[in-house]
Amino acid sequence: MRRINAFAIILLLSISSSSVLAESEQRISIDLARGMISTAPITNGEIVIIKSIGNITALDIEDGKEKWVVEHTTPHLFEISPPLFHSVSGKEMLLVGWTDGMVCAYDVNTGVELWNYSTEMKGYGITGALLIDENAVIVPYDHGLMALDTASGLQLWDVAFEEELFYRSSPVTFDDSYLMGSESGILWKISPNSAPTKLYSPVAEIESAKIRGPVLTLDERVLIPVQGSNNGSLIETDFSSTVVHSALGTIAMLAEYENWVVAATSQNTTIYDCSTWCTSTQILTDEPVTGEVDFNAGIITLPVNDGSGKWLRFGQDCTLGNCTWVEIAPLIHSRPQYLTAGVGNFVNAVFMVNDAGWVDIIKNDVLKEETSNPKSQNSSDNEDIFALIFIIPGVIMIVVGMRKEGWENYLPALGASIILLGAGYYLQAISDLTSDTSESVEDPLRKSIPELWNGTQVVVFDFGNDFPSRFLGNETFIASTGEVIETRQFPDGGRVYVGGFEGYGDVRSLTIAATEIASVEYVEHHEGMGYRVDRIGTVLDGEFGLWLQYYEDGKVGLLAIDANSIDDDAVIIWKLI
Amino acid sequence: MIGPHPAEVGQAAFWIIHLVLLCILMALIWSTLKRPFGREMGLFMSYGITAVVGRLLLEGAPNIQPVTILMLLAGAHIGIRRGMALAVLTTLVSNMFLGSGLWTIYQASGWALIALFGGLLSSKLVENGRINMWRLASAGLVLAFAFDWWVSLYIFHGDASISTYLQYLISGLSYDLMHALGNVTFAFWLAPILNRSPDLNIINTKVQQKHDSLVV
Repeated sequence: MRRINAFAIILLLSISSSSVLAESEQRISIDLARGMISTAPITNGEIVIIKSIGNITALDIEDGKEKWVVEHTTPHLFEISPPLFHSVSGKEMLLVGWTDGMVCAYDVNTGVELWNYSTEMKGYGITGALLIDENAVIVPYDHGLMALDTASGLQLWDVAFEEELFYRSSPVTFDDSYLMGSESGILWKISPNSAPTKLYSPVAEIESAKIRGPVLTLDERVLIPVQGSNNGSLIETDFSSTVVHSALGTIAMLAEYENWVVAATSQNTTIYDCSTWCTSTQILTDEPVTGEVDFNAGIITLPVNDGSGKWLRFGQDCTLGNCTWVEIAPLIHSRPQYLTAGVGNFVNAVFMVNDAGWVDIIKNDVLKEETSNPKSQNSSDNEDIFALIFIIPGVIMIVVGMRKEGWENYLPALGASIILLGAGYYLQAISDLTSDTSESVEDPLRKSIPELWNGTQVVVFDFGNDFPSRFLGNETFIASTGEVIETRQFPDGGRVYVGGFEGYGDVRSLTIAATEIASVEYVEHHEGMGYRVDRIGTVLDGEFGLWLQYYEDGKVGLLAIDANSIDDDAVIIWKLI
Repeated sequence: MIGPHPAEVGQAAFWIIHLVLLCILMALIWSTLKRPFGREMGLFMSYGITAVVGRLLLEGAPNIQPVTILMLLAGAHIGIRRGMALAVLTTLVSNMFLGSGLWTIYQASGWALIALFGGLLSSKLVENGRINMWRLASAGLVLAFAFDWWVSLYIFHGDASISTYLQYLISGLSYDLMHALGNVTFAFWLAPILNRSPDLNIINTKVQQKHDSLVV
């Protein structure tokens, strides 16, 4: 037995050490010795630019050799505004904003300065990302926003604030204006042609509210990361309705990919499905993430700011029916240190930088294989194997505990605990299995739905006499466009059908959309298990011992409204029971 | 929305539920006062505190309920009526934090019935001063499903039909399984610990058998 154990340990060690050796052969580590690196490396395909405190370093993308260095003395011990490549009349330049308030343009081939412009510094100079808008570079400085001509560096316009400061806030194009959040938690709409207007002011509940990062625009909605000293929120608004998502701790940069939004904080990282109103889909990790989150080609990369020197990565796994985000191989720096910078993930190699000023370069053939197919890494076979890891030892411990006198005091308890942990881990899969066995019950209300809406998503509000008076006495059919397509006499109060929807992923987003179309009030709250509805129109959940209940395709809804996915032709019926 | 829910029922219904349960609790406790609590008081308090704290601590865990196995043991150790009283008390106190409503009645009665089973099965669960761990675990396994299905009767307060109820049970099977596995785990942990005090098992089992056989 001991021989078998020893063999197994040696086998495991040899497998792990061989993979480490394989990787180390492809890794180059460089100590730039130029202080903290807090923003991701960028490339133009030939050189890689790394910005550190008071320095810009250009490295050859193939071998990491230094091509040129620029020194720029600044008063602060950090540089977080990312540099930016830009081309003017075929001449490529590098635009850089510094914490002393200066904007500089450098020749990418030589590092020679082409022009510079010094903004007035009241705080930390330039800490947000520059933005190219046609022939102008939009510069977020510490108390305003200005545009400079990219060819000459001449000022085109300037909107300065007397009593506002901006930190790590970057301009986002919005109509013909720019959105930028301030250190007082206000979201400003800034335009060169008019006075700035407040689009959002923080609620009093958020203490010392600050917006320290770019907002995200999604269709008509804006996501605003509002950070507080004790609490914070991810505010989602279309400026007529607002949904508040909790975001505790220091908020990292928001990242978006195909309507998935990652909101990371120093306490946890949550992914939201924002195809309609954002729904919290999954908590990815509770490790602290406060810097540059990257979300490209379906892969989320999170710099973990705890000294472990790693970037967690997640991809989507749809092998078990319901898609979930699963962790894939993390990127680990050879010199573990605190991290806020994103990863430079380029065609040939991955460039990783850290707060100690070290640069790791890994040829990314191996990484690409891992990254391109996260599903295969988490196949159902692997899931089964993981399940066995819990079940087999647990069962063995219980059986041995049953047979060996004296061992029954602890072995069965340990075995059962392991099985319980495993069952908790696989609860969703078990739940899905049992849910699939419950057959759909035909609801008579479904028969009333117009054929026009076949194959689309429909919401029915069946609240009898408790709905607003304008709906009473009729069955009202409202299309997703807002048009009332039909009314039928209905003596037993009122029913409202809102249909013709497409693409909604869960009961929550579909119901919110339907209430907006029907112009009825909708109130919800969030609990540990998901969102619950408190009010639809005048109907209050729990009033007089009656409860709001939804039925999904005839089946009573057992999960929170955001906790299950719905079909493209789902019929959601809300009743008061 | 139905299911476990923190929202309150109307104020009148709310205090009527609590008043009724309090009356039942008092009736159960006072009916046993002619028999001194003695050492059972320690067990009563220990089971009660463990059950309430355990329920609160495991609130976020998927239907892992330490109360079930504790009420089963309480029924066996301190007698049917005191066990049932403890079940009502535990439910009332823990629901002060977790949210109370109509379901409180079903939970209190469900755990009280489990204490009843514990009392009735005491001679099977406790033998020769030792708790039979395997029987305790088996009982916990079965009673987890029975308790969950009992509490699910709550949905009939709406317009749920039998088929809806069955559908509700099927959909909740995974959570019932978690409850059952949790009970087995607690049984495996608790029985060896309690068996280190065989005096406690012998004395209380005898007292309980003598008195509760009269009650039932």
